[in-house]
Amino acid sequence: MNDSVIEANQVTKKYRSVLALDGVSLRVSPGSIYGLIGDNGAGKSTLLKLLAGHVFPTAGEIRLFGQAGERELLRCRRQMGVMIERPGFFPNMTVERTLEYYRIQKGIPGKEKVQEIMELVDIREKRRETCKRLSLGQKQRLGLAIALLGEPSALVLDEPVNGLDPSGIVELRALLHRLNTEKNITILLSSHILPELQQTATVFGFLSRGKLLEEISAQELHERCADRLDIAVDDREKYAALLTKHFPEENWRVLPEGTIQIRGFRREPEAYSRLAMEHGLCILGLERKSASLEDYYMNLKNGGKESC
Amino acid sequence: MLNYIKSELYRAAHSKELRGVFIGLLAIILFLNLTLFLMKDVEHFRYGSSSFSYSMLVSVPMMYCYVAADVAAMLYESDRRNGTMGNSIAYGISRMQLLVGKCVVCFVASLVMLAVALPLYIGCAELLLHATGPTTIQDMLLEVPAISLIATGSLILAVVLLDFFENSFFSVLAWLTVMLFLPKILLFAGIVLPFGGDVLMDVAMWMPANFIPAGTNVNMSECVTIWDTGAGMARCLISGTAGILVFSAAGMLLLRKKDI
Repeated sequence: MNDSVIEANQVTKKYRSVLALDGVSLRVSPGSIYGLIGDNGAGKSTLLKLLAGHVFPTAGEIRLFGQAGERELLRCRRQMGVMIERPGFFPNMTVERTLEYYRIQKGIPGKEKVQEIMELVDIREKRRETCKRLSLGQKQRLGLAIALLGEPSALVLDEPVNGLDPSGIVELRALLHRLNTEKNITILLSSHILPELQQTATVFGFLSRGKLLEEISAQELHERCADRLDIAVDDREKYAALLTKHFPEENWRVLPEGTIQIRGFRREPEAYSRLAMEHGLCILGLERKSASLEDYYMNLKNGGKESC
Repeated sequence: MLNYIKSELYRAAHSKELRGVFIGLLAIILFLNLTLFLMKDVEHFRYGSSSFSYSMLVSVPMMYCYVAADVAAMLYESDRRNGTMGNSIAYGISRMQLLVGKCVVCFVASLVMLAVALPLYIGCAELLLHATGPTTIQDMLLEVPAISLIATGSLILAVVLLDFFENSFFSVLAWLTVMLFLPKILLFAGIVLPFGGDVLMDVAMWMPANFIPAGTNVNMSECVTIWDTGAGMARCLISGTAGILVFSAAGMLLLRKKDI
């Protein structure tokens, strides 16, 4: 039994001579928030378009809710809400009529659903505005509203925070969390704003030049990017022995340049300098560092794998 | 697909662009007939008759095709660019269902426009103008069934091309090529080619842009239309049916696996 909501198996997509995706495989588990990270042209939108059915794979297989095959995918897409690149709407239609149009198209009974969804994404006061008059942020909200109509089991969102003001970003993050936790909606989203993604996603996938470099859970990422302490002492062998003896639970290693790095340290930094000084060692340097998703991504892109 | 058609009919009913075309069409009808009405008693002005008014439409049956294609353009020229087509596909509506749905909606919208515009045209001509001349209300009414299948085919072609090309300019160009230029080129090639020219000419003479003008002669002294005879009417219906089949098949072929 396949328990992934969204799955890509060795998917390749070529646009004439341009290889947009090269054998990408990923799995989005039920209830997760999957953050897709990559530069412009890395293949994020192409991957999301493949999932949405906008484009067809050159090779490989797409599975949605465990189903593959053209007809099954069409059926499964009805359980998905999608917003890719930019929200799709009719410029001269009002917000309310646009949502009513999609409500009819999705066969959702009850006109009140349109009102509910406008409340949910906070766009009700613009309901009589034509779509072309909306600001970029309001258009994003409308796109999200369209995606959320019909209570989908999964959401695929491309750059959903694009154009949102700071409070809009916070509200969207809260909304996505709420949808994920309360309604168990699985979310796959891409974003250029990595700190934002770091706060939202539970799994990360790193795309570069059409290849998926790595998939990593938020927990793993946290462990890899945890706070670390770089300590330079005059006798590193002796200090390493002291660490093993006195602080055996600490996770440390000697860096190539001779500095001792303690990852996810559990004491105040003074405790480590005191340990050295109490045993006659001289502290040459002590630096507290923490890495972000950005650091991790840049490091990964540049060929590193182990640390941030 | 039924829900898609319903939603598109809802949109068509609220479309400002379509309303604009509709109002524009009615305004042209009123303007033409009112102008003839105001001029009808002017000395030496021979055109203040219902016959002349009817002849403007009867002599150019392709007008129905232009209006049908225009309806399609008003509704779908930006469907790809606006991302609305993408939304429908992402919701699991297949490209074939979209194509059929769009054709149905365009057909219904065109029919509604025809149902209002034609009585207005005839009403204006009958009430305001002199009832003299060779072109009669019967010619006008017979034109509708004769051209209906051809107009439906041209509408399907317009929808297919609008879906196929992202740029609507190319869609218009391709539509004009298939409906007007290609038939003329084939006919010309049929005339000048020493070998195989007869076959080309036979094929070209089944195309509305060729056989309709060839069989139609409408002026102030006579009204000969191709649908006057059984054979002419049959040619119109067969050509229209063939157009519907060919353009539908082309749509399925071109759009079934089309990336958007």
